Amino acid sequence: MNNKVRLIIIILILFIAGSFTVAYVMWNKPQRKVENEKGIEVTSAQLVKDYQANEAEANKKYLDKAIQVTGVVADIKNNQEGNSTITLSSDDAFTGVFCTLKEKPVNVTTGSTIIIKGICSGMLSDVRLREAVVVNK
Amino acid sequence: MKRITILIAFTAFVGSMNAQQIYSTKAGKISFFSSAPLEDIEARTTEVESKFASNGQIAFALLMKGFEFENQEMEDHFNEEYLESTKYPKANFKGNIINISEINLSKDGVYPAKVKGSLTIHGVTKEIASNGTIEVRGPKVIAKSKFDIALRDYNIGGALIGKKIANTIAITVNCEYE
Repeated sequence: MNNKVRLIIIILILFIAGSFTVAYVMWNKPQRKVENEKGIEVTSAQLVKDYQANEAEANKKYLDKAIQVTGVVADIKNNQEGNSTITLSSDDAFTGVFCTLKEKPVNVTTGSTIIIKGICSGMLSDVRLREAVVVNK
Repeated sequence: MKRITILIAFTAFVGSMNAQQIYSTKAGKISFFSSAPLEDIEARTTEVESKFASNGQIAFALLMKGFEFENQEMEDHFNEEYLESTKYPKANFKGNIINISEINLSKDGVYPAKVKGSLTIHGVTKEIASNGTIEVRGPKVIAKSKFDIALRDYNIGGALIGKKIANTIAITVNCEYE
């Protein structure tokens, strides 16, 4: 009898500890880091072309995925939060790849060709990459 | 010939008088806050595209996947179970500042603004009205607003609504135009 009670108590304790661990791990699920993901390699021109041809299909291919984009820097700016943004040009002068960067880029100048890796949020008037980083060749 | 020149100059002058001044940004900020018995959730995006014209027309567009949360679990839940962000990747608002005549865009100051228009979230469009401010600071114009939306108005449902996610969500808009 005593043993049975003890067993039940042990099982209960294990169960409670287990639930707490699961909850803790879920709560602390690490934030995605684009640096740790292998990006889909594409040029900014192709990415824009894919989105313009068929947005739904392009979303299936790129949305929420890490993408590594090669393109020419059209514009470097700071947004209202003080984060850097880089727009890569495409073959369409009105549409580019707008990237919001995690850190200020070094040695990036307008007109140079660079590689940026970020997570694709979809397309507004530009294709958008968030939490992006400049990749060194 | 002289008459034609004068006519062209006059036309150009009148044209410039009537030209709409258009302010725009590709990096406006919109955040939301949900306060429920079990948890508070806050998320924001700084990738909002917005245009605002001197006649009062105003529009916002954002990508649902652009919202950043304090933890990945919340972000995944939000996207997959509630907003179905893959199916409905965008949210937008199109409307007008109805008291635009009371806002002097060439004089610095903070002006109260009344906005009306249609808000589309989760594929559902609703007419909304909201109050906010338009701040004029030199060449910069800043639009701010805070309003509540009821999730059920946009067909957003789920087991955790009312427990971990509030029935009503507070939306904060802060867009700096150039």
